Amino acid sequence: MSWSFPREEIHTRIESDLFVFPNTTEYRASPSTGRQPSVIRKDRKREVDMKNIMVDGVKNETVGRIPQQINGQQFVIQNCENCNIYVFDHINTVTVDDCINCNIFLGPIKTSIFIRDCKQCRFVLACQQFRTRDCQKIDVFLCCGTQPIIEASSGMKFGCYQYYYPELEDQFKQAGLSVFNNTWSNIHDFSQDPTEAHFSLLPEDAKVEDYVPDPTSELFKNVHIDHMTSKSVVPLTHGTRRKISDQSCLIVFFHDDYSQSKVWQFIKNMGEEHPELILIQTKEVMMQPPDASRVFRTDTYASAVSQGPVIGLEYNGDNSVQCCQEVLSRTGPAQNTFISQSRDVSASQIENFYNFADMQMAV
Amino acid sequence: MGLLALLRKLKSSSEKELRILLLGLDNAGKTTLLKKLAEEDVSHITPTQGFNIKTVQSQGFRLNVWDIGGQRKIRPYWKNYFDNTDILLYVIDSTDRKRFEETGMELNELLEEEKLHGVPLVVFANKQDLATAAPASEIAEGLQLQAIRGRQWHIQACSALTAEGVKDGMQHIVSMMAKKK
Ligand SMILES: Nc1nc2c(ncn2[C@@H]2O[C@H](COP(=O)(O)OP(=O)(O)O)[C@@H](O)[C@H]2O)c(=O)[nH]1
Ligand SMILES: [Mg+2]
Repeated sequence: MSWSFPREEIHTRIESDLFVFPNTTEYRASPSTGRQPSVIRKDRKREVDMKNIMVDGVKNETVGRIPQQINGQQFVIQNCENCNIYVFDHINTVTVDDCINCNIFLGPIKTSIFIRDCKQCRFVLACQQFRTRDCQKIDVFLCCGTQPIIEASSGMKFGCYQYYYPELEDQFKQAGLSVFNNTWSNIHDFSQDPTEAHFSLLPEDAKVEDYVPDPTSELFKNVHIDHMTSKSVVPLTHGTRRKISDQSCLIVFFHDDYSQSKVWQFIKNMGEEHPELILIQTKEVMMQPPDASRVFRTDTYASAVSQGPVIGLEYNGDNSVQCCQEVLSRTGPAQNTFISQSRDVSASQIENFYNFADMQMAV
Repeated sequence: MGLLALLRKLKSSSEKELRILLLGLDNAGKTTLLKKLAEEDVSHITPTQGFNIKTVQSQGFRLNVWDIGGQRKIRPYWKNYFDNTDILLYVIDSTDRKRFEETGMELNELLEEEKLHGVPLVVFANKQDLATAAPASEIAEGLQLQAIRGRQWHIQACSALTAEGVKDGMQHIVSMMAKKK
C-alpha cells in the first residue's frame, strides 16, 4: 500500500494550489471557477505566509528574517547551496533538508529542529530537541534542552551556543527555553559504530563568528549582534569535555525575583576574578521538598525550593569550593542560595543534584 | 473530558487490561501524544531512546500505552512489542512531506504483521497547528486507508502540542473497543 502519491517537493504543491491566479491584484472573480474574491485574498495571504516561512532553492545568496517576521511560526529551509541564512526570531519548529555548504543562524526553536541530507553546513541554534539524519560534516553551536540526537550522520561537531542581540533573551522566553538548560555536548548517536566516532566537540576556543559570519546585508542592519562572551544570553559551559581538576563546587540559586540576575552577576564575577575556574554545567529545574531533602541531605531548603525552579551551577578547578564561596559572599547576601561547604561533600552534592535534574528532564 | 472519564464509559470491560501500541517515525510526536493522553505537561519532551510506558488505572481497569522510539535504526525492534496489542495508534508528522512515503511504508509493514492482524488502527495526523501541515484527508488518501480490510480504522487530525483533536481521537478509540467486545 505505502504512499500512493508521486513524491513531490513541498514547494511544487504549494505553488500548484496557490498560483491559480498568477496576478492577484488584477483578478476579478471568475464566473467559470465560481471563486469569490474573499477566497482569493485568503489564497493570496496563504501564499505570502508560506513564502515568509520558507527558504527554498536559493544559491549563493544571503537571506533571512528579522525579529517579528516569524514570531513563533514554523520555518523550512531546503535545497540551498552556498548560502548565508539568518532567522533572528523565535520559531515553532524547523526542518533543514538537502542543503550544501550553508551558514545558518536560527533563533530559539520551541520544539524540534530536524536536519536531513545536509553536507558541510555550519549552524548556530537553540532548541528543545535537536535531531539529524543522513548528514555529513556539520558544525553546530548548540543550545539544546534535551540530549541531541544524530542518526546515520558523520563528521558532526558541536560547540556551546554563544550569541547576543537585544531581542534574543526575550525570544528564548517566547520559545519556552531556559538558557540554563543546555546539554550541547552530551550527544546520543543512534548509529553507533565501534570503529568510527561520528561526532566530536569543536575546539574550546572556536569562535561562533568564524563559522557563521555576521550578516552584512542591508536587511539585517538593525540587528545588533555582539560576540563578547560576557554578553551571550547562554552561559559558556565546558560540557562533557575533560575536567581540569578533581575539585568541583555546587552553587544553587533558589527562585525569587532576583535569582536570574544574581546568577548572571555571579557568573560575571567568577569570570573576572577567577578566569582559571571553569563553568562545567548549569541546570534550571523544579524541585519538590522531598527532592531537596534527598539532594542536600537536610530539610533546610524545603520551603526555598517551593518558590519555583532552582538554578544550579557546577564550577571546576583547584580550590573551586573556596573561591566560589568568597565570590558568592561578595556578590550579595547569601540568602536563598546553597553552596558546597567543603570539598569533601561537594562531589556527592554535584552528583546528587545533576542526577536528579537529568531524571527530571528525561521522558 | 479526560482519559479517565472516557475510560469509565468502558465499564463493561472493567476487568480487562488494554494494551495500546503507539508507533510512528521519529519526531512524529508520539511521546508528546502519550504525555497529553496522561494529562501531563508537554512543554519539555526528550527524544525517546528506547521506549516509554504509561499506565492509567481506574477501578480495576488498566490502560497501558507503549510509546516506542521511531529512529530508523530501532524500528526493527518494534516487533518485540506486538503481542496482545488491543489498539494500534500510528502518529504522523503532517508537515513532513519528505517522509510521507517512508511513514507509509512502515505503516504498511505493520498492517501486514500477523500479530497485529485485525487490531483496530487510529492514525493521528499530528502537528495540524503548523502552516505546512497536510490535511488529514490528503494523508488518508496517500496512505490509501480506504483500502484497509479486516480491521476498524480511523484517521484523526490533531495537535499533540495544543491538544486539539486528541480528545476526539480518544473517543474513537473508546468506541472502537466497545464495538470489538
Ligand atoms: N508544533 C507542534 N509540535 C509538536 C506536536 N507534537 C509534537 N511536537 C514537537 O515535535 C517534536 C517531536 O515530538 P516527540 O513527541 O518527541 O516525537 P516522537 O519522536 O514521535 O516521540 C517535539 O519537539 C515536540 O514538541 C504538534 O502537534 N505540533
Ligand atoms: Mg518519543
